[in-house]
Amino acid sequence: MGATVGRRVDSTQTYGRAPADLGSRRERRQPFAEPGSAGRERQAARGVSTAEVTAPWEAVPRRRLISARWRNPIGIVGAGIVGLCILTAVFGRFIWTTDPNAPDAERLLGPSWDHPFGTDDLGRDTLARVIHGAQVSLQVGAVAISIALVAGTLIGLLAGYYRGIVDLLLMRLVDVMFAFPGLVLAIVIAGLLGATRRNAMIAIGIIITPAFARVVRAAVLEVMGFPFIESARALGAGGFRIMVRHLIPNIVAPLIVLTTVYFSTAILSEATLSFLGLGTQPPEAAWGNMLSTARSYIDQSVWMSVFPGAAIMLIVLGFNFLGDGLRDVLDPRIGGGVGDAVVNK
Amino acid sequence: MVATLFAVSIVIFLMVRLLPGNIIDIMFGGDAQSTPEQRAQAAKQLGLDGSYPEQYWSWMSGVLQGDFGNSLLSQRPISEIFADALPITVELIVLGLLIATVVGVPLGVISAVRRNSASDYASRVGGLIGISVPNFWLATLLLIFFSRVFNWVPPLQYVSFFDDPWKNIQEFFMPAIAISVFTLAITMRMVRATMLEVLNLDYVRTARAKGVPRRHVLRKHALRNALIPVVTVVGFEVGVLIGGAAVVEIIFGLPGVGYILLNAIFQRDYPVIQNATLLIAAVFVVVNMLVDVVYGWLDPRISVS
Amino acid sequence: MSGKKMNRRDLLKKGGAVGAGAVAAGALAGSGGAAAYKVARHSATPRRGGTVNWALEQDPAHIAPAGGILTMTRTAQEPMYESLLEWDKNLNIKPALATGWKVRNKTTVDFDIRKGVKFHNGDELTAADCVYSFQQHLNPPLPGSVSVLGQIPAIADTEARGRYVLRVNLKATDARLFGYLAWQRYAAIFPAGMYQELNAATQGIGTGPYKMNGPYVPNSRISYVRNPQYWKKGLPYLDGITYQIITDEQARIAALRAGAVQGATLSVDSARSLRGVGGLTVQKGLTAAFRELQMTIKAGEDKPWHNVKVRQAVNLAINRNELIQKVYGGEGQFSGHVPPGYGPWPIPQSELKSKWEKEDLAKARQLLRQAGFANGFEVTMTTFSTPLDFPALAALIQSQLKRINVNVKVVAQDPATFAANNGRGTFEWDLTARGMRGDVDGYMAEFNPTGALGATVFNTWFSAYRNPKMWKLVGNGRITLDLNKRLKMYQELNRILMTELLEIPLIAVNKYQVISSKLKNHYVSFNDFNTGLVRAAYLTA
Repeated sequence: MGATVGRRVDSTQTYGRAPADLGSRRERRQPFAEPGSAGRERQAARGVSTAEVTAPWEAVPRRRLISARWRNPIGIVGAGIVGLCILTAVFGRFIWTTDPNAPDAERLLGPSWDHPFGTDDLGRDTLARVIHGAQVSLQVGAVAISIALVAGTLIGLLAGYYRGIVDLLLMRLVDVMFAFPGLVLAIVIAGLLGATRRNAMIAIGIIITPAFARVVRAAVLEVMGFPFIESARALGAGGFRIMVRHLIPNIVAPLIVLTTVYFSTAILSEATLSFLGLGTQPPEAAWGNMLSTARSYIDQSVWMSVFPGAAIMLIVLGFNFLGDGLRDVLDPRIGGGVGDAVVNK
Repeated sequence: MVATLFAVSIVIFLMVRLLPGNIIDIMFGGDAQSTPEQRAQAAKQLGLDGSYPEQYWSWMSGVLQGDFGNSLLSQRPISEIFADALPITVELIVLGLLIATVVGVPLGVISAVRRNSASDYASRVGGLIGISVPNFWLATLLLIFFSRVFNWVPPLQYVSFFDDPWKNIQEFFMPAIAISVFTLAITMRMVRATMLEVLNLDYVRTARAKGVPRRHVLRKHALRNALIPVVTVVGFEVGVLIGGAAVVEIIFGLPGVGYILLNAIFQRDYPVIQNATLLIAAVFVVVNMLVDVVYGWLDPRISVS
Repeated sequence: MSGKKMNRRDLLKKGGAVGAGAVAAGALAGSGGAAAYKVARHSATPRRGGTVNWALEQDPAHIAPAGGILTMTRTAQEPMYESLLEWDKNLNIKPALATGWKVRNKTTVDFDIRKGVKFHNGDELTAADCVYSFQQHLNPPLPGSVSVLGQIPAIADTEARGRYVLRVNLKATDARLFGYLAWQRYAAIFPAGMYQELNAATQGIGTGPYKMNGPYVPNSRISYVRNPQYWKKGLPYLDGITYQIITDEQARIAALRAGAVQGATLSVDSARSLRGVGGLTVQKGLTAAFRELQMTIKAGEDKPWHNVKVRQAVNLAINRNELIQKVYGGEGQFSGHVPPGYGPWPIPQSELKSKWEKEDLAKARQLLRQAGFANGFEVTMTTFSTPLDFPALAALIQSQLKRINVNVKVVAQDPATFAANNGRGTFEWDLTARGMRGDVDGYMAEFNPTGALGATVFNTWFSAYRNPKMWKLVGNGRITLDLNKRLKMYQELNRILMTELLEIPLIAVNKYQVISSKLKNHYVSFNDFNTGLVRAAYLTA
């Protein structure tokens, strides 16, 4: 399921070069193309001189970004859905003020005006709980992604900039994490840390980190080959300065794509963990644990199973649409297939 | 690869011991009553009293000889536990892959061939929906659907495919569908993308311009190239499927590796957690290696380093 | 549970004939019977024959007789293993493999072993087998665990005084002995040397009404067939019992509906939804797993509930009726520190409802004011995240206590984490369920720091609490063999506990079992096992 991460983003070692040569064929055919981040990784992986490559990411004009969006309906829809979910998570409880934890109503009701999503096994309002669940999902997703972003960028930067033994050790660590299917690792970490929401955030953050690390490293390797880096060094710029001034701006675009793409993974992982009893615990409302409880009441109320699951699907769909749209814009030559298999789940 | 697995074993060994709560606590906690001497005695009985290196060595030396130790809770040999659980998980994954490939590849091809048509658009959106559906929700909905509409539930006790194929299929088709959907969508998208590339290649265009029928082109060139990403997908997706299998095993009550692992985590049954995780990691690593080999064989232009 | 009065001399002299031996959990009612066992009468004549498939809700992990930590382990082995004594349906102690006993002195009890009882392998039961069995119980070999020793009374060792007399030597006077034996959970009798002859984790030889038909298949099933040489003549009625392990509740329901199993334990909601379904009967019975709110009163901390008035206020603000209504569909009872249904030992329901556990918000507020907490306080309460009624109870208690300004933060934990915290005392409050005990002392021992176990509890939970009167009562209760004296002691102790409220007992809940309507004479057993099935159930055609 989308909860698994750590795909085979290419690196110079271990598992071979699956999509690399697809890209090389394509690149050779269209020398003026602006390869997407996937293409860049492959080139970096093959140690290709980046002289052939066109302008670095800094040069993508903002204008183009915005104008391109308008021509991309899927991306727009995605952005809309995500926006709606964020608004619901933040403001929903002020509009629908029913307390998600108050067992006041009759149990196991179907949808009605009072309770548009029905009530659950204790008589709590499902709509209020779904809204609260949106908060939980987004919060967990955001924190987990932040952890992965920070840790992954750090690892990738250090490995890509310093190379040598630092690179070897860090990438070996990343490889170890790639040796586990993501969800299994998340289950083990969250389960052993103790089943709480905070630990779920940590676990999910950890399993997404390797993907970020590898992409960042590949992007860094590529940029490191540019002439202007050498000149900066010659002028006496230190490592830190180079990283901040030159490397980071160049990896922003792939990071944006990664973030949107893995946000949906993070949300699905949170739902799966809480479904299994390893993340947010009842009585607090989280979509996953609501679905888990609902399983015991299938006979008495189908509705309990419908709405939390639909909510998960909707928000994940939104992020996937958005990710697809962004990728179309920022990686124009990737047709939405190879790209997401490489970078995605 | 071996080094990675060793590193994995050390990591999981430490994680399991450093993180809060152990099986002694479970035995003695809650409503039970105990003294520190009894706790120490229990620890000794279970082999949890040595130093970490000692415990690690006693585990690893066993593994290298094929002895995985015993479950702390039932004292049953873990190799037996795995022997029972593996066929279930393997069957789930194989079925999931099968469905994903058999349905996904043709869909991807059609979608690429009829590019930008309504059906292509529909399948693009369908693909995105496919990677968005939570598999445990889908599994629950399937269960609801069959039990409400057809008044039917899957058989309760696991039977192997070789013992009773029909009953086995009945047990497995719903969970297999549930975990295959995601992989199906990915496969479809990948195939579509690759096909699009191939169809755009100059030599294909040339062939078409010369009047070679589309079907011929498809069969000879495009399809072969479409297989390559499918093989790649297998490599990635085994990991996804292992994770998905764990979840559906729990929903459908199939005692596979995921189910065993999850229960072991809740019960802090260290040996089972350690060995199951190591096993999953090893399988995953091996599958990826196999994929590389097959990939290299499929596309002679790639050399496997 | 009324009964005859016995004086001390009667007790010692009679040497444990039926009824007189009820010094532990069990009513005073003595049917005075002799050693011969009578088959109970039924209104219809029980039919012999048929096999019952029963769905177990958890895998037992193993079925070894010594040191099993899971309740399910005992349930799974119950058809084949018995002990020296047994409980009847109302927890009266009856003879079983022992026909009676004589109390020689404060630390020595001799049991008369029933003659002519055959193990499933054909060998006759002798005292030597009992000695071997108790050796294993006092030092459980794998797969058993030494962690169960807390449930076993202070037995020093046992010896065979002749072929049919077993002498039990106690480390100290211990009234828990008889209840422990009747409970049978940690007192099964098996042939000498059994652990060397077979794999006790998956096989077994006992004296019970059924014998194994092939080994236990983990995660799958355990198959039993009738023991034709069973010492209770005429029993069992069934040809066999097969336990099917079906952990998923929906699957169990489906199996019941389809007739694939003839009985299963279900949650309250599922059971009630099956009421009225043709061919199925829903049964319920109280269990000892009463829900309880526990607190830690640790030295070095200064928490509001160290003050007894605060604890009493909390107790008065809890609406037990609402808990029963909302979480258990109206089916449950109030509970004191000894659960209702546990022989003559608990406080009667009427007294609980009218005096000790009556909701009284005004008084609660007043008490809080007196204690200086009119504005309430914050507290964290941990509980199990599954089964689901625990977070449900927690949520309700949270909303109830809000009314007196006590803000409870509910932290639900998975069972392992919860058990760890509970065992170490690393919690402020927790909401948990208690369990079955062989003897009523099992519910009181934690309140006496002079015993080994009590000392642990005291050090981890109650290090800041002092009550010598309570401690003395608990200690004396354990060593008093006279039933009447003991009853009086525990009655007084109960009231002290309900005043001091170191732990606040909440409610006792029902266990629900749904059986095929063809299964007769079955009842839901108080003791967590399937005794109702194993004893004398039968199938109609």
